[in-house]
Amino acid sequence: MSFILLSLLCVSAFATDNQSNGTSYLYTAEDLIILKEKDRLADEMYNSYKDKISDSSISLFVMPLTITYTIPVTVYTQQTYSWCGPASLQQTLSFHKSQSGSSTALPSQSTIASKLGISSTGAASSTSIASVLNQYKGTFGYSNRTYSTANVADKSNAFEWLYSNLRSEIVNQTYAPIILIQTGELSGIRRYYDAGVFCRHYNTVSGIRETVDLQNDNLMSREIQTSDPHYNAQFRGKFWDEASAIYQSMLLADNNGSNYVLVY
Amino acid sequence: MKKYCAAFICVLLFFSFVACGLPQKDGQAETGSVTSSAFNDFDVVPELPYIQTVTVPYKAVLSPILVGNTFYMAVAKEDRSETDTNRLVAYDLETGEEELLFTSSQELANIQLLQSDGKWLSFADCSLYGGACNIYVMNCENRKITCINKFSSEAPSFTYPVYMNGSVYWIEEEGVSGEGDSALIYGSVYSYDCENQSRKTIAKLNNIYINNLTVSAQDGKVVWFERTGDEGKYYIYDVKSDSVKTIPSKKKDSMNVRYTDGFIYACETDDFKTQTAKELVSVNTATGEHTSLKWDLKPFYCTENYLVGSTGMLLHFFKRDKNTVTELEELTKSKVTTLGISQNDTVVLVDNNKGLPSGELADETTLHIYKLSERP
Repeated sequence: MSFILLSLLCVSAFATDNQSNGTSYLYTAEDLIILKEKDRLADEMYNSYKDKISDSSISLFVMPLTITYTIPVTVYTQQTYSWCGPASLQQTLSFHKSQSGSSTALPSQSTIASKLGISSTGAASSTSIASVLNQYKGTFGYSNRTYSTANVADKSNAFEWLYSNLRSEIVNQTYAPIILIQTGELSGIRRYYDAGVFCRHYNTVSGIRETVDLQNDNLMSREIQTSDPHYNAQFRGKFWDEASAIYQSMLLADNNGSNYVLVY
Repeated sequence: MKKYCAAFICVLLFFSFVACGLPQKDGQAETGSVTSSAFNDFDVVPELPYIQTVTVPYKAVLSPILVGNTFYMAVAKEDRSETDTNRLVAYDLETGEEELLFTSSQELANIQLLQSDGKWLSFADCSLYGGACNIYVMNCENRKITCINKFSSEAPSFTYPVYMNGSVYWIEEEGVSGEGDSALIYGSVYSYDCENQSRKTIAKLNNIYINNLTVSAQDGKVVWFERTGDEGKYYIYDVKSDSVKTIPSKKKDSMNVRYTDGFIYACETDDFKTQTAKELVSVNTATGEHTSLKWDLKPFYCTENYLVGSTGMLLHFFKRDKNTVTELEELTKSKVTTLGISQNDTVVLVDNNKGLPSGELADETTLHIYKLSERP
């Protein structure tokens, strides 16, 4: 019985493509429509999976169920210590290249840095990252999607807002969002606890994982996979962290500066 | 029959998962040496006699420490292309007078990790986006600043200098041995004597990973951890006798290693990468005895007589007496962006205020000074 349940519930993620058209990254009236559409999709996604896990017919004594959704993001090493922005952007483009089957080579980090207007020791802004991502829409086949920027601290029910947006984008395979996190001892991310040093860092989101206790239909855990382009191999790779830890590190980054913490 | 067996196995697996896989609930003191007093949940920093709240005229503050009536802190006065704390200042708490001590050489910087005993001040000048952390010491009397280590951007991920009794200690990555999955980063523990301006190698490390990038130093001892194969050891360097003593850990890996007053506090685990079977322990450095603290506590800071820990969105304050730890209160840290540890059991919490509708930082920052030793 448990195997049947697992099979029934381990549904695959189907890519959908129902974003509004948009052409610029600034908050024009058109962008606001896109943002609202993203919010609506996130709400729809949140409600659909909440409904699924509270289905009263699922109440058998079975193992917790883990459902994982990932998107194909290639991890690239950032080429200078401050180029986590260009590297994350390159990672996000790798997802769209994979989805589109484009034979065009990904731009180098130097090319991306040049488009972002930063030097080898400079750091990118999230707004310029969104802008440059939108310049590659035609090249890598996502013309009908538009990357935009957001913060988290200004949202009501900010954690659920963030998680639902990320979940929607990963499950629907529409975007590979870029997040700005804060490292250091108050960061929620485990690999950055001991390092202790306080700095900002971009990662690309490449997966979500949820574990449901089928005994009582409660969510036991929600995790987010990030693709970290860190220049040191110890920190580089794909990592799973509790969604709340990712949120906490983004909130810290948000509260410590004016750069947007989400490109989505 | 097979169906019943399968169901039974599923039930067993379910309970094993629940028993082994879930972290303990925060604040759930069980046995051992942790006791829990009444908890106070605060949505905002409470008005208590031992907490002083001040506002300083900066967009952001990092690593504030209080020495007498002077705040040493890294500050941002304006948004450049980003808000970065690129200036080190001394700020008189009574008069509000500011003295600029140092300006970062980084394009965008976070000066941080300030530590001082009033005679010397150590700090790191790091790039805002990581790497390139250079370590400095300042003579507090004549304000002379010396760079004691300059790292190439190729080198260590993070370097966390620790100041103790006129010397600075840190771990430095120096290279990689082996390839692929078996590659190990090697390096050394260094010290710098501020008075004599001399640098010394204390020990060599063959396996530096994320969990043992830093040392802990207090009471004339410098402590770090290293795993070799399936064995882990704590290393305790005694400054006075210039000797290193080792104590084996009970599990293969250890993280968040902190030393104070004869005890090492650390979170031991079977494997740092998976963090299986995590257990917070205290280790008596005289006897090697391990005591389980049964606490799921994320990294913590040691003051002379207190611990400050972090779990999720909470900060926890503990009174420490040898290896007995009593939780005093917890504080929601949703607005706390960082903190600094000063001498005399003083902790400074930073609340970088969002001011403008666009989400930008206001031109002032609120600091909460917790004088833990003045708690009733």
